[in-house]
Amino acid sequence: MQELKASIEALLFAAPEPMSEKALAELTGASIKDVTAALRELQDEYQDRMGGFLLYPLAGGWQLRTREEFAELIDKLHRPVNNAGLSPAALETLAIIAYKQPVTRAVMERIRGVRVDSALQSLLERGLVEEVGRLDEPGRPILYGTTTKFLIHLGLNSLDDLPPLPDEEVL
Amino acid sequence: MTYQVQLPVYQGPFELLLDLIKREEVSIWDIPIARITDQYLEYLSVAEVLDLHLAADFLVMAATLIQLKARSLLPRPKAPDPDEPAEPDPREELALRLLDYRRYYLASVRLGELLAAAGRRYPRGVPRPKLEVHYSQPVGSATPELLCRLAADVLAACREREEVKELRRISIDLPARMRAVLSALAREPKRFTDLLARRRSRLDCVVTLLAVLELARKGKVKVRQNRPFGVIELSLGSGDELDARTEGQH
Repeated sequence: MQELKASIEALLFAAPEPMSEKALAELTGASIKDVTAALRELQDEYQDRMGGFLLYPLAGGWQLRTREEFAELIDKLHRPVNNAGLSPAALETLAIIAYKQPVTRAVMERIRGVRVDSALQSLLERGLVEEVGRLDEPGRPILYGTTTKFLIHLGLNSLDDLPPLPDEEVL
Repeated sequence: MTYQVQLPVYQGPFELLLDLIKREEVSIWDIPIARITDQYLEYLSVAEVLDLHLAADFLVMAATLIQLKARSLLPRPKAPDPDEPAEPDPREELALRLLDYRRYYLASVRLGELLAAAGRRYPRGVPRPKLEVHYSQPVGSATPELLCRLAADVLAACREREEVKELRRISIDLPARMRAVLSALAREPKRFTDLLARRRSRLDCVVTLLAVLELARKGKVKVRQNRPFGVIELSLGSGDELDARTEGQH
């Protein structure tokens, strides 16, 4: 187990993206069950050690990331980007796509009451959303959905982790 | 003295409406259409919405509000038929859309917070160390030597181009050019480009081409080109058999 844990730690250290348990099992030749157990142990060890980074579940995989407490410190190293550079209009459009996917542009415009061309374009360019198919309707409008990159950038493990959509009686 | 008023910027008509409703402290289910419409239009008249599409979307909502206002001013039938279902309040649809927008607006704020929070946990930003250098191949199989030769040809042609000082109408005699081509070829076979070598004007080139084509048609000149865009070789033709036939047709 110590050997497996070290192997997984090495892979996580070198991987640019979150690693799935399946991928880790294939690379190490261990069973998914053993990989999962090793990941839990690593997660606990990092937690107990109170070092600079932790192991986070992300987009269906696992990734080493710095602890939030050091954000300001690291911001001195890297220039931080607010909201990943997303405008409020883009964020509103992203929220509609996230909660209503797969969804057409017409539905987004109906909800927001404005055109969404540029907001949608900026989401597509950032790879947060993508075309996921076409609606079987006249004109076959394009359907949009969120991407793995969306999960990674919002720190979510899966779409089930999205905070619930607010109730209608909020006003 | 002028006053500068900082107007809030709204993402769209719904955000503006919700803000007006909040400021008026009225229920979304019982919007005082006349009052809200006036304030909505007032905002539009003061704010200069520069984005034309956005301005159009704001105006669509203004039209909807005015329609609602007009309808609310019309007298309603005093005693509606109790069997008929009551006509729904036209404001209800607007309220439902406002609420729906509000839900996604609030969700977008939450997503923004998630983005910020996740951005506070940094992944390792280290890509695989690389030594290889990748060149793209925009010129296909062309070699530096070929490019050098092509450039030299183009530059030479530029240098030799005559400066136009006077515009004259040039007329070139096709039969005379045909005779000139034949006499040139009588000495030795030539390339087509050789015939053009000292003839720089476009008209001159065209007439030479026509002369060669005509001579080829008559069989007086043999034309050979081994591959597309290759060198065109010209030599004297063997006979006048074609010539005899075409002459006969005229």
